[in-house]
Amino acid sequence: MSFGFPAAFPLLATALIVILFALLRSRQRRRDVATFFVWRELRDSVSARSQRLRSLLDPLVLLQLATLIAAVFAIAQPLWTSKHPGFASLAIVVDASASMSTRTDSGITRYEAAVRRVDEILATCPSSSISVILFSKNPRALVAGEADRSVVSRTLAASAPGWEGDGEPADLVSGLAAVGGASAYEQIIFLTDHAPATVPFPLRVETFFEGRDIGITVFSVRENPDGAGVSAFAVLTNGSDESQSLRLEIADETSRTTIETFLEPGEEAAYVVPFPTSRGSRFVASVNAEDASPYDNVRYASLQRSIGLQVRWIGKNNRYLMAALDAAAPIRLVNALPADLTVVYDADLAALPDGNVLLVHSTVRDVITIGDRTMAGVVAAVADDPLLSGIHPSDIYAERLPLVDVLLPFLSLLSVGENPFALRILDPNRLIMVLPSDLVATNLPITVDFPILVRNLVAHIMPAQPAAASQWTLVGSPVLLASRGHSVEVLGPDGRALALLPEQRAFFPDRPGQYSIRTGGETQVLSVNVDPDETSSFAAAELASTADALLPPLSSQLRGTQSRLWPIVAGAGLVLLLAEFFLHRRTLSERARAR
Amino acid sequence: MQQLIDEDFLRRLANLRFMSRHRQGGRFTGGHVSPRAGMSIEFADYRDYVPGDDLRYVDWNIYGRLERLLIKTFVQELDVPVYFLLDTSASMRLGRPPKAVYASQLALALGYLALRNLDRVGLFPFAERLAESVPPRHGMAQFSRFLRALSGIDPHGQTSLGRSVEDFLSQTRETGIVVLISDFLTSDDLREPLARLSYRGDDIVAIQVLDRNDIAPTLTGPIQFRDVETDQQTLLSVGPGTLEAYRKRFADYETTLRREFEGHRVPLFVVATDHPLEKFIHEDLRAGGILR
Repeated sequence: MSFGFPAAFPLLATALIVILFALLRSRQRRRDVATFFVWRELRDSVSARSQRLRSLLDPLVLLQLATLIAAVFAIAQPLWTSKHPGFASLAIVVDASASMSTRTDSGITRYEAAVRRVDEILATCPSSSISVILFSKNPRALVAGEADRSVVSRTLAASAPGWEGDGEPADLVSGLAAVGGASAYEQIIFLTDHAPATVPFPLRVETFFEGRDIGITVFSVRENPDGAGVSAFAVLTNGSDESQSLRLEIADETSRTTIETFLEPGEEAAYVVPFPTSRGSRFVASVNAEDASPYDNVRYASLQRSIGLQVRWIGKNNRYLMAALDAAAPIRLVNALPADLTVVYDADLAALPDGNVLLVHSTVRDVITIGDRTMAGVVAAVADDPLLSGIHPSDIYAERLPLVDVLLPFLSLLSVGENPFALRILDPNRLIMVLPSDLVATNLPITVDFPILVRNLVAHIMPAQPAAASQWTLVGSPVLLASRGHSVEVLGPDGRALALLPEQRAFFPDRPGQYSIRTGGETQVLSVNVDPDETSSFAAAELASTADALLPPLSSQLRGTQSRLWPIVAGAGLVLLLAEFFLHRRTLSERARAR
Repeated sequence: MQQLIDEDFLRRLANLRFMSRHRQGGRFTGGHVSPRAGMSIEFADYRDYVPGDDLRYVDWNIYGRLERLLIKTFVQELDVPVYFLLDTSASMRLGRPPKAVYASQLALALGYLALRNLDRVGLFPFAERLAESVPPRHGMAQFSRFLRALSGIDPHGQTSLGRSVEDFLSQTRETGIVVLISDFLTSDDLREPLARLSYRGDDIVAIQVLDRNDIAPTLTGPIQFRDVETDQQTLLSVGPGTLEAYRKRFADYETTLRREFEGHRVPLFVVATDHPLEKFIHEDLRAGGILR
C-alpha cells in the first residue's frame, strides 16, 4: 500500500486529544458507592472479567479513535497495489497472414497453434480487458476491450488466416489504433511466424514456426525483345530441412514447360524458361511440393502483350499471308486508316496508300505497273537489308514472276535474274514493300522463310514498341479500377463476377489467382499472388525458435493494479462516526435513566 | 427544623406511640408498662400482705369477706429510654435524598413520638466509633437538642458497628429501646454487635435505609467504582449482565442480613430513601408492631 498524501499522517497526533478527553470523561464516570464490597465481588467473578476487560477499552473511545484514524487515512489517500498474474489490459495481435495457414508437424496450422496459445494467455489473465487484432496487410480488430474470456476464445476460434501478406509496422500501429491505440494496453503480445525486425512500440513477440515450406518465391514473364515469344523467370525455395526433388511447371494458355530439379535444405534456385512461340497473356507456375503451405506452390502472372497490329486489307484475301502476319503479331483488321500496315493483294490502286504498305501482285496507277510477261527461276538476294534477316533466298522459287515497272526510286531486295522478286520503295518516312508475284505462283508460302520475312516486316514497322513484362499484385493490395477506364465487371479466379458497387473505384483481391477485369473495350488479366515473403525459410525458423527461448514465461509476470482506497476509508470513517454518535446517545439516555 | 422535618408532619404523628416488646423498667413515670407493680390507676393483681406494705393498698372489702389481708397491686407505667443509634458513616451521605438525611428525619420523627410518650430520647451517632451523643432526657427541650444534633451530622468515616456498640453499651447502663438506623452496607460481621445488644436485653429495632441505587443500580458502561468509606476503587464495565449479577448478589446479602437480625429476634425494616417517610412510619412500622 502506498499513500498519495503521506503528509497527512502527523494528524494522527490529534488522537492524543481524543485520549485526553476520554481520560477526563473516565474521571467523570467515577461513582461513589456504599456497596463496594458487592461490586468487588462482581469484579472478581469470572463473568465480570470480560466486562472489566472491556472497561479498559471504552467502545466510545475506540470508535472515536477509529474514526480519527480512518479520516487521517482517507486524507492520506491510500493506494492499494494488488499484484496478480496477468495484465489489466492486454492486446493480442495474431498474425493472420497466409503463412499462418502452414500446417505444423502436430497436424494443426500455425494459426490454430496461435489460437491455442491465446487461450493459455487468457487463462493467466483472468481479469484482463482483452483486445484481439488479426494482423496482415489489412489488419482488423476482431475483439475490442472484451472482459469475457469465453467470448474472446470463441471469436478467435471461429476466425481463420487469409491469403494476405505480412503487414508493415505502420499497419500494426493502425490495427491497434482501431482498439484504442498501443498506449491503452499494459501488454501487447504478437503471435506470429515472422518475427518483425523492428516494432513501433514495446511488445512481446512469440513465434509459431513449425512446418517446413517449399514454394515459388519469384515468378515473372516478359516478352523477348526480338518479339519471339516470352521468357518466364521463376525462383524455387526449399524452406524445409530436407533435400527436395521437385518439378517446376510453367504454362501459358496453350503450352507448358516442365523442369525437374533437386534442392538442398534452404537452397534457392532460379530458372529461366523460354516460350518462343507463346502469344498468351495468362501464365501459371507451379511446383509439385507436398509441403505444409500450399499457398505458395502456385504463382500467377499475366502479360499485357505489346505486339498488336492494325492491318488494313485491300484486295483479295490470302490465308498464307494472313497466317504469317498473325504469327508475327496479334493483328486486328481495320477498314480505314490509320493502320499500322496496309496490305494490298492482287488489286489495282489509283494511288499509293498512306503509311506502311505491302503490295503483293498489285499495281498503283502511274507508280507501279506489272507486265504480262513472266519469268521463272530461283530467287537470289540482291541487297543486304534487315528485312532479309534469317532468310535463305535460294530456298525460294518463282514459277511466274511478272516484270514490274516502278516509277519511284526503289531498292531491289530479292530478284530472279534482273527482275525484282521483292523490292522496297525508298521512302524515309514509311515502308513500302512490293512483292510483284502472286504468292501462289511461288513456293514462298510453304517455305520457312515466308513467316520470317513477314515477321521482319512487322518488326520493321513497329520497332519502337518495348517488350512487355508480366505484372501481378498481392492478395490484399488495392487494385484501382478507375485507371482502367470504364469497368464493366471483375471476374474472380473461379470465373464468378465480384460484387462491386457502381461507384467502386478499387477492390481488394482476397485470394490468389487470375482475375479478369472487363472494361468497355477489352479484357485485362490481373494475376494475384500470395506475398512471396510469406514463404518461410529454414534459417528464419531457427532464428524464431531461438528468440522464443529467450522469452520469459508470461504466467510469471505479475501485474500491479493501484486502487484508490480513500472513498472506502472515508466511508468506513463515516460509519464509525455514526456508530459513535448512536452509542453516545444510548449511553446518555442510560445515564439519564440511572439518575 | 424546617430543613429536616416539617411541623405538619410531626403533628400527623401525634397519635402514634412506641411499643416496647419487653417490659422495660425505667426510672421515671412514663407510658410503658413496667414489670414492677406501680402506682398507676390501672389495677394489676392481688398479693398477700407482708409486713411493711403500705396499708393504703389493703383491700378491706376482701378482708371483710375472707378475713385475708390482700394488697391490691397496680400497673406501674414507667418511661423507657429510647436510644437512636444512627449510622453517620460516609456511605450514609449517598442517595437521593442522602440516606443520612432520610435516617435523620426518621430518627427525628421517632424521637418526637418517644418524647411525646414521656420517654427519654438519646441520640448516638456512630461511624468508626460512637460519636458525640445526646444523652437520653425527657421533655421537648430534648427535642431541640435532638434536632440540633441531627442537623449537625456530617456523614464521614467507615462503619464499625462492633466498636460503636461497645461504646454505646459502655455509655448506657439502662436497657431501653434501641433504634438502630443504618444502611448496614458493610463487610463487617454484624453478629457480635447484635448479640451484645440483645444480650443486655434492649428492645432493638433495626431500620435499614437504602438508596435505590444500592438496591438496583442502572448505571452502564465503564465506571470507576469508589468505596466512599475506604476510598478503594475498581474499574468495571457495567452491562445488563453485571447489573443482573449485582441485583442477585445484593438480594443474597439482604437475605443474609435479615437472617442475622432474625437470629437475634431483632426486627429489620428496610426502606429506600425514595419511599415516603410518613408512609413508612404509618404503615410499615405500625404493621411491624413498633408503633401503635
